[in-house]
Amino acid sequence: MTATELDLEAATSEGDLLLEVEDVTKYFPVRTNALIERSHASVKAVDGVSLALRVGETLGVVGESGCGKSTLARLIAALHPVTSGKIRFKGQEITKLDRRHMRPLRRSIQMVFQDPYGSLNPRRRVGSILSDPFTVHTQMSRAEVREQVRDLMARVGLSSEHYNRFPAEFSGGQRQRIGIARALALRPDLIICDEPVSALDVSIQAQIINLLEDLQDEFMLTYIFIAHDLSVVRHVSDRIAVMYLGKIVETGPVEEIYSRARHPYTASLLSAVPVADRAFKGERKTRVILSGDVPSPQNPPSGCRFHPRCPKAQAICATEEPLLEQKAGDPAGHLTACHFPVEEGEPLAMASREAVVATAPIDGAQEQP
Amino acid sequence: MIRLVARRLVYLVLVLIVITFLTYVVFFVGNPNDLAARFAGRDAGPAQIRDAAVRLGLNHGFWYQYWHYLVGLLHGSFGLDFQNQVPINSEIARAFPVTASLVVGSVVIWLLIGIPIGIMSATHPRTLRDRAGTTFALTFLSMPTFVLGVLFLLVFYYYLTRAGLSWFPAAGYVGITTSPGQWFLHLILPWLTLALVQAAIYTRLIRGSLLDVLGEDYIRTARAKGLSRRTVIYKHGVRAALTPVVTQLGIDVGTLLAGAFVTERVFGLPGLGQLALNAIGAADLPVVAAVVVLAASFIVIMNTIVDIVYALLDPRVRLA
Amino acid sequence: MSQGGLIGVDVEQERVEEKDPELLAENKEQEFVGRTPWRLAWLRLRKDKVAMVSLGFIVFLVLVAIFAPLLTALIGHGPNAQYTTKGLSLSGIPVGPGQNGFILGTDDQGRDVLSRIIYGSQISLEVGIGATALALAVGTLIGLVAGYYGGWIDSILGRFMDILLSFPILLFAIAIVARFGPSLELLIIVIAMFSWPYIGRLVRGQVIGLREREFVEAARALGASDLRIMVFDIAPNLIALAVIYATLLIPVNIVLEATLSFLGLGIQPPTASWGNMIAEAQTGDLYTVAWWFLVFPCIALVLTTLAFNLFGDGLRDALDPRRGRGHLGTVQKVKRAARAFAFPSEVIRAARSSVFRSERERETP
Repeated sequence: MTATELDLEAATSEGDLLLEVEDVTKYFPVRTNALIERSHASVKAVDGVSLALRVGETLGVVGESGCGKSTLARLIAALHPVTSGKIRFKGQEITKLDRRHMRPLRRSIQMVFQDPYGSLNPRRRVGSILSDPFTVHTQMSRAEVREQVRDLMARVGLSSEHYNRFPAEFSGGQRQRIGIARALALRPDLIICDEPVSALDVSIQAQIINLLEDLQDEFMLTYIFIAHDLSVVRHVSDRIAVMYLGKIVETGPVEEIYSRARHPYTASLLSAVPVADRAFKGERKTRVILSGDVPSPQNPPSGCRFHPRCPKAQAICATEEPLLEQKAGDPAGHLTACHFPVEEGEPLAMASREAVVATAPIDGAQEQP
Repeated sequence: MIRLVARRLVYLVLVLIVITFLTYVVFFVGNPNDLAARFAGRDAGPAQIRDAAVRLGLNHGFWYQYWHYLVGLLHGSFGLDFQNQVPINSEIARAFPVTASLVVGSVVIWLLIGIPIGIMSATHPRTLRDRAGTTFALTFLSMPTFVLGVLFLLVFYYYLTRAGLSWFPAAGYVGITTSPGQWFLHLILPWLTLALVQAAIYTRLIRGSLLDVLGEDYIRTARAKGLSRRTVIYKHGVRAALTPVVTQLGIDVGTLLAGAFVTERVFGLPGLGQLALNAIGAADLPVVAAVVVLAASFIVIMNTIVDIVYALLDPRVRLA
Repeated sequence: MSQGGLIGVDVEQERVEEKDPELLAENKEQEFVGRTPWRLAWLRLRKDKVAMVSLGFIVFLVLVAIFAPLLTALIGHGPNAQYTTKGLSLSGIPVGPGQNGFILGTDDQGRDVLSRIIYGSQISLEVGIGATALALAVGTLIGLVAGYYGGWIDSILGRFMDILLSFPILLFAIAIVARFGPSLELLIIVIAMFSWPYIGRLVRGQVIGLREREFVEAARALGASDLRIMVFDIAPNLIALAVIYATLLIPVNIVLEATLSFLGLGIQPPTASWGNMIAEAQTGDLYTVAWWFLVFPCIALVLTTLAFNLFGDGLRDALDPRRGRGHLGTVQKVKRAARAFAFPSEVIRAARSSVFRSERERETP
């Protein structure tokens, strides 16, 4: 059984599949010197990623910057063509669709961008920006569009009096609300949130997260939530996928990952979450500090990509690439790509668990069930 | 570096093909007989026109003539002119020193004026000195070359001469080998005309680029570690600020060498610009094409030199 | 304001500065409403005295050009009428300024210099604005397409612009006019033909930057077509740049027209153009004793060029989007000052020096 099938099985058991990503890769060619020596080097931004998503769930994707999570988001949103692999949306393969056939699908897959300053055109009024989805995809009259836009603005907590303002007249949080409104306009099935709150003040983050959660309940939305802030991801996600250098190294239900991380990388990430309360600090002697930098995705390490930085690495790790599979003792759906997964009670695991305990949920009030 | 030069050579050939072609098209659109008739002499009959056409090679088709011209170029020959059947190479050899004298002299002057004023403006931004520099630049920048030239002639030649001070000759050119003193005197006004307009541009260029450089972090670091203001400005700042100036200089020299038409016309200097203007007036196609070829070559060659100098000045730029 | 601690004062000043004190005063009551980017620019421009005076002169010039027939009728002298008795002295010397009802004197043929200058302004503006508008349209279109699509389309269009910019422009313009015979329309077309690549390159550079912005990605995620993205998302961000450079290109083109006319290849006498007035004056020797019919057209030309340059400069200052960020650090302030004084004929220079930059970029990835 391959990793995908396992994953799919885990997914199908509980609801309708919305999205299937199968062994997708994205290589960006690196141009060195154009004229004569055309070198074939490429950055392997996403390298063999598979995942599945059920209707109404939220998948958190975490990893350090440069691990390919934003590229993955853009592949799913069909903003970049994939190098290889398949993406199926509601059972329909979308990777090979031409522009014309892609258009109706754009209604269903939307994206919220990281930078609320960059993602809104500074020279257009908010009303005009928000009417784009309607003018592109529907035949509504001007008045109808206007009505829709006002509703939409009200829904995301903006005053409809702001219709004629320019983005520059809004705060970061308000702008992100506009970005969300735009993504929401055509009632999509899937919204890909690419670090939607990382550019915002901490105090504003909670408001935006809450808005996203309310909208999910109201419109039965499915989210892919990309972030590098582990506490935010934990708060919003049902399942987590951890990426490292273009590959998923561990995936599973959120509580499972946070309490029983099996991959040393996940464990180290979790141990790095800052402790809110000083009282815990004394116990955190086992914090895992990774040595070295993230290797270049242009020339990733052999075998397990994490091995040069892994505290548990052995000879086999440098030669053989571990499969993403269910490890002994793990529940279905918790997959790890590691030859020597972290055992419960191992120092690494200890560290991660402490870190989790110490991590306060974002606004304390709502814990994920 | 060899590759850079090689690539530029390919580019130059491309440019030359395109512009000679366009030159030919511009001249031949309509009917070539028209062209032949112009050189057949006054009141020429059909027979004489035909003779002229044969003599000038106009009896062949457009493509043949164009091809013939390109082959000639490849052998380093611009061919014979239409008017007097003289080798164009020798006409250019006569005109080029004039233009070169004009350009080289004025380059020296405009750099001598432009760089100090630019540095002064940048190191004392928004002071009286800076305002004075700005005013200088604005005045000459808004002045078309021919206006400045004509006014110079009026004031420095006519008015001074009438006042009994015959410092400057009227117009014309004396070769440097004939009489260096006369050469110099004849060129002062043209030099100034060309140089003042250009100096204005360079003042602004240096001011802007030096202000940019002086705002960079590394300059502040240099100041912070205790280097004197003077050392920072001259050793670090000016050096970095000169890079865009070098670029601009290369382009300007390339363009002007192709003919400072207006200055040459105003002061009656028999340079390339005058040669071209006369040839255009006489519909002397090969001469026009020759000057066009020279001009484009100068521009591309100077740009290549600029790129090499650029890399020497700024180690961050690698030459492929 | 109470005399707080040193720090308190500092903070207060900082805050006022952030909101641009001039604008704050302007909009005290209006809150933020109506502060569109354009309105902000206009408010800034209005504070720029030099730019406003220049704008005033330009408006005046446009009115003069429009009402040229009316004005010359008021003066009582047509532009081409030769007043051989009233306008020339017995020995044939032109009449000086203010004499015999000729406000700026007469030229060597006894024509009213003022009337000719007034009619000359029509030519200058027609050619300057006409050629610039044409260049702007073509340059924006091609720059937009090249920058947006990139790849081989960009390579071809970019090379094409490079080659045009490697042309000895003046020489080629002269050759074309000489071949087809001078006319106003041809003059406009020829000048536009050689000035559009400047705009094209600038627009292309801007579009390459804009293309990578997230709002373009957002539009693509919505399923907007390329055309729609170019028109609705990218073009609005080009308007400021286009307006600035068009204003700075107008004087360049006016000078080009005057230069061609001066060389005898532009507007043909007896139709008055500032360029051919200067050329005609210079052909004889009479101007050495009657300076006015040489000097006044020169002044008209220089003032016009100056006004457009100054206005364009102020406009750039007011529209520069980078200025709108509010709080500027010292470095940015210095840079801003540098840009504010950066120069008009830089339109040409900016594009010129980027002629080979594309290649440079390719060499240094």
